[in-house]
Amino acid sequence: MPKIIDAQAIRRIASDLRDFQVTEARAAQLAAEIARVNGAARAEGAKNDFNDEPSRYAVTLAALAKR
Amino acid sequence: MNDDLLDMSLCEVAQAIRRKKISSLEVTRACLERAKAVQPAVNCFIALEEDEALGAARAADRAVKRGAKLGPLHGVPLAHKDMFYRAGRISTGGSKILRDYRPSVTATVVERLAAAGAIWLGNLNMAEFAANPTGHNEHWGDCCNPWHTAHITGGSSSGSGAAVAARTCYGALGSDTGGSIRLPAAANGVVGIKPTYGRVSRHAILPRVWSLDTVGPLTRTVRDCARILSVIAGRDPFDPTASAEPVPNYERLLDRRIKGLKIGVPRNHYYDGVTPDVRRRMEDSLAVLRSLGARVIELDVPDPQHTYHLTNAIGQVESATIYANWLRERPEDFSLVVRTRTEAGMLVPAVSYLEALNARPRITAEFVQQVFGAVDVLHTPVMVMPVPTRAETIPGGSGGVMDMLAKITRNTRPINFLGLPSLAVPAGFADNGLPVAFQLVGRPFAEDVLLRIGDAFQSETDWHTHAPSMDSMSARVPATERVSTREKQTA
Repeated sequence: MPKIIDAQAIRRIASDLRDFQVTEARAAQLAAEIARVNGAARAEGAKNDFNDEPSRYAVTLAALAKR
Repeated sequence: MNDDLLDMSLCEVAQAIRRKKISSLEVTRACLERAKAVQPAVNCFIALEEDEALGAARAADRAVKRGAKLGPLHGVPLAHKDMFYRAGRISTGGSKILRDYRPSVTATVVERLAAAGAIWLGNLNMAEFAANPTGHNEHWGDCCNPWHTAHITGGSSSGSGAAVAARTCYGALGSDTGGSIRLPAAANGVVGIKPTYGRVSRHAILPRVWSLDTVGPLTRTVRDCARILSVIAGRDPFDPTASAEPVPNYERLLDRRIKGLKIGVPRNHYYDGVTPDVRRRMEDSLAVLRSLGARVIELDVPDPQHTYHLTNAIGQVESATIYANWLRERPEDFSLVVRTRTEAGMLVPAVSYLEALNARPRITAEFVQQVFGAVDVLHTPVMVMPVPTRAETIPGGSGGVMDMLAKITRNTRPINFLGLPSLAVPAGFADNGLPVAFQLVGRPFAEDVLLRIGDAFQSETDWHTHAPSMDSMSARVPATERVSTREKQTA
């Protein structure tokens, strides 16, 4: 599980990369949320195949329909 | 007379207009009168288009008189969540930012409804940018539940659920990204279907999360729902995500035969925290389905907990991308809740977002194979508790409010991640007098199976015929300051 990024880093990334400001308190909340989302995505990503791509989703739904 | 007209279902009123038993003008006038009567307390409309609707109704009646070919919705007044674009007409998305937005294109679903003869009565209230599950809206005023105006309508298609329940129109379009059709359908005692992802075009509707957004109708009966879905579903060259899977005439497939169908009841997750009154309504509904010959089977289903964070990865990034310029240039014009929910998406790594998207086909396939290898559909409560009050669910409230909001969507959000179709059907009332509903979930593109079961259920029950009283729809209980309805828009 990745570490929770610290609030200072969140504020710096928000400001430098995306040009928006967050308070210290909000940055701490965002850090926890990013850690949860990032951790879940990494865990599932480890099960993905290198041939996977997002556009396969529509094909999957069609294939799973009962004929 | 008006009450008789307004109590008719969409299919009944369409047939009566076609057979010249009633005119579209009478029906449209009745709907407009009802809409104006309930608006002060329910606040389900953002804009009523009275003159245009009456003009369209007169034209519909002339077409009937001259024996023109009539569409399946000919002369029937509908109203829609204020996010379905019409070229040159204001579409607010329930927001302050788009208060004066006039798109240059018309939604494919709007064109299909018009081609089928439907009348556009007005634009319905909704959660700001379709982004909350309660129906609160600080820009246009809360939409209030017509069964008891102190309670939420559910969202984000708040006006769609309330307007149909209040008999101001015979059906309404909504959109569903995490429960936004099923929750207001359930909370207002009407039917709503969230189709398979890609079943209905999303062209020229306000986006919320491209990978999760779906469009579907809210109506009073399952048959009405089937009729509208047949009109709006199908491929669309303007929407590459719209599926080319053939669209059946869903209404013709409503033969009420469900004998032998296997209805799955999850042992895990979907009943966690269910209240005794909601559980009783679920058991009652299953007893009805059993009496019709269905087999009810309990089973374990894949735990959806891990999909919540994956859904957030997708939802936060896509909505942050959609709102990126406004978040930077006019953040004060968002409600605090929408802004804070969205800004995390600016910070999620791109690789995490794509990992979540790439995991989706595999997780969906595993779910479908495990669940629909054993049963034909799943049956769960839409909400595990009675419809809460607006005061209990004010966005941005305490930790208790956050827990309540999570509870509201716990049974609907996982279905959006999986992209599966789901039908919400009224199943009676909770101890607080507010409606309760079950949802049926099927394999991809099995909308016909869900509708067949729902229609069979309604053939044996009368929950869908219950209507809120005018007394309950007149009691004004403000939770937040109400904003006056938008002045009539001009083309």
